[in-house]
Amino acid sequence: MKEELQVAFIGNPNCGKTTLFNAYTGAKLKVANWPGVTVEKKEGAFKYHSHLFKLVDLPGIYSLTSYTLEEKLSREYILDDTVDVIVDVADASCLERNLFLTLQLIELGKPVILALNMMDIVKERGMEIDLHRLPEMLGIPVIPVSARKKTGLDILMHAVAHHQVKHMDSNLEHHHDGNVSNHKHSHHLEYAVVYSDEIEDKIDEIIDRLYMHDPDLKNPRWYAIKILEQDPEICEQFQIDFSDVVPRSYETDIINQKYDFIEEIIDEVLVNKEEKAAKTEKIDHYLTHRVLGLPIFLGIMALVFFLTFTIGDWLKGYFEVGITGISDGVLALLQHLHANDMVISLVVDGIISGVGGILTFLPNIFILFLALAFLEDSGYMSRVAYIMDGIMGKIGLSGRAFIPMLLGFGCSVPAVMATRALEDSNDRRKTILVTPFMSCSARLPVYVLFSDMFFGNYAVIAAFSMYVIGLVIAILIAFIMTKLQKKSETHSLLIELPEYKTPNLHTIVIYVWDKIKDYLTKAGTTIFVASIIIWFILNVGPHGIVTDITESFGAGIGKFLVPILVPTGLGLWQIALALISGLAAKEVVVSSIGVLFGIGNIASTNGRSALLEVLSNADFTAVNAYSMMIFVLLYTPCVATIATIKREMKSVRWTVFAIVFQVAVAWLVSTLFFQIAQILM
Amino acid sequence: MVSILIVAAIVAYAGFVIRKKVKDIKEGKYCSCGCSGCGMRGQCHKE
Repeated sequence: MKEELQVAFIGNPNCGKTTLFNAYTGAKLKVANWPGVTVEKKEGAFKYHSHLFKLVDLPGIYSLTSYTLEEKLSREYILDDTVDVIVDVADASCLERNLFLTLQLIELGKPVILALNMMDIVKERGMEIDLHRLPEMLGIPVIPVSARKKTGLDILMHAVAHHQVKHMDSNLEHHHDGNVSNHKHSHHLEYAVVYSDEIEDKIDEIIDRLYMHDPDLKNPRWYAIKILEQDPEICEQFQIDFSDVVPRSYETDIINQKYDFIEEIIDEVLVNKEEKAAKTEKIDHYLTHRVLGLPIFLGIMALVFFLTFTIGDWLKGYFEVGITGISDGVLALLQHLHANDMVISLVVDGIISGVGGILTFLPNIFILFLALAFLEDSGYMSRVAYIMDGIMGKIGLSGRAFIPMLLGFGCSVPAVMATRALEDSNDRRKTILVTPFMSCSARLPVYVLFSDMFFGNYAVIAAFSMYVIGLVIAILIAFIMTKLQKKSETHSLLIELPEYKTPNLHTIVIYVWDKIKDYLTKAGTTIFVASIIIWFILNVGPHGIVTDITESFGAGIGKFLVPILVPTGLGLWQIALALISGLAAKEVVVSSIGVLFGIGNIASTNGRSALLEVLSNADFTAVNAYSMMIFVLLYTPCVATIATIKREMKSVRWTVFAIVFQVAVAWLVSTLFFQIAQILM
Repeated sequence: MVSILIVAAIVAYAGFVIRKKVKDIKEGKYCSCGCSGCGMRGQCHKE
């Protein structure tokens, strides 16, 4: 038994492979790229008794064909002699789909262990897997694990240590019901997957010829199967004419027969499967309906916003009281300590006003992410990309392009990064350009503030309409860009639709807590610094400290931009400056407005009333407010997103174009809306 | 004296935040949100 083992982790995407991998490697993980490509390579090490396991986490793949870069890399790596054991991580709750890769791995002839992950979910769903029959049918060890709950990990590594010298079970006890084989060999004693007589005859013929070419060839059966599938890489490797044996590709036959065997396995080992699948199918009949799917999605999102506003606003009241209390308390303390007036202004009117104003929206953010977490964990959100696939196809985008756009509802940074999954560079560019139009969560405080102030009972509708407008604009622009392109080619969408499940409270709590932590961190860092900068440029001018705010640097910058913004209905220098401050983070627009208009705790009832009065005196009405919301929705995203766009596009020129393009769209749409509204009213 | 201390504390903290931000950007992490809840966090922290 070797003391140092090279172990490859492989499996379908979302099977928990990386979670399992991380459970072993922890902080000792090394992340790099596979040579020459942008696909990530993760390596780690793990000591188990006297063995040192060198672990490699391969990219998530569905099969070992050579269609995608990830598949090619994984296959090459596994075929390499350095790999001692393959750990095939399968999602036990979706066993049927995961077993295809398992069967392909078994055919490679290398030691394979099937790690059945997410066994806790199997139990939650009331399903059972016959863990005695499954290894018998596959001919490999099967170890139940839960990467999330960290169970079965030691047993898995124990199995790896002992399975390094691959040995087949002496008798594979499955049999193919109703099939009578006339094949000359009884492959059922040797192989898990036995094909039809016609294919087995061809495999034998090909193996004989391969041995004539290379008598020392290892695992010729796998090569023979690949030649039958007319795999281009394998066919090129062997310069042998097989045209008489392989007159056509048998790939479909081989895949179908593998799935026949998988069906046999599932029927034998999986208990209570039909019930759960039937429930999911019933729900999907409505939620992914060709006609009803989209309205249902919009309805669900409208409900999410309704809850965000109603419950969020109710909770916000307590935060307002708290922030106002802190502001008053700090003011009193500083006055008591005889602090300088400018320092008091900096702390109370700058920092507390800016940061406090943002913290007041925490309840709305909390409710929004709670609802989204619920939808995500239930399995519904993966249906949305499927629902949108039809529409995306009509506008010339891959259905997969909607997945980054969907992420954009949370944050544009990961949304832009997620465009890496799009193979076509034109699709990538288009998606990167329009993804920031999907209203990220950072814009929510702006919508809440202005819609609460100006739209009363229709506040929810006004805010929700921003998300719809963003989606419509993104789709429209993608459609126009597709029409302007010479070639139009769409790629089909392959996406997993997991079964619906009752959301796990623990998962939701962790998700929401992470979001709240991020929000608080942002408030305490980016917004803190931005508030200080805004305060500074409002209190300092070309001649030093100013008493009249209109003589400050900030006013100068804002007034410079006013002529450009007048057609959009945003011709106030304070609004212009607030929009610029939004480059740091969109929440800063709200905190800046508080500082710019000299209103402490802008999100409180008193603060909103004071702001409404100031704006009304400047002829800033509901129409202007809606135009403001549109502008904030569409104009250039925060600097973090801009930097990510530059990194993903690898072009300063395209990044500048993206910024200018988004500002132009924002200006155009806001102007159109404002001017038309003025005419109609 | 109190004013000086308050300003010094604010400047020190702001300096710390800016320095950390610059360090994060140099490491390729541009996001002003935290990473814990981000679906793409594995992509940012490369060695």
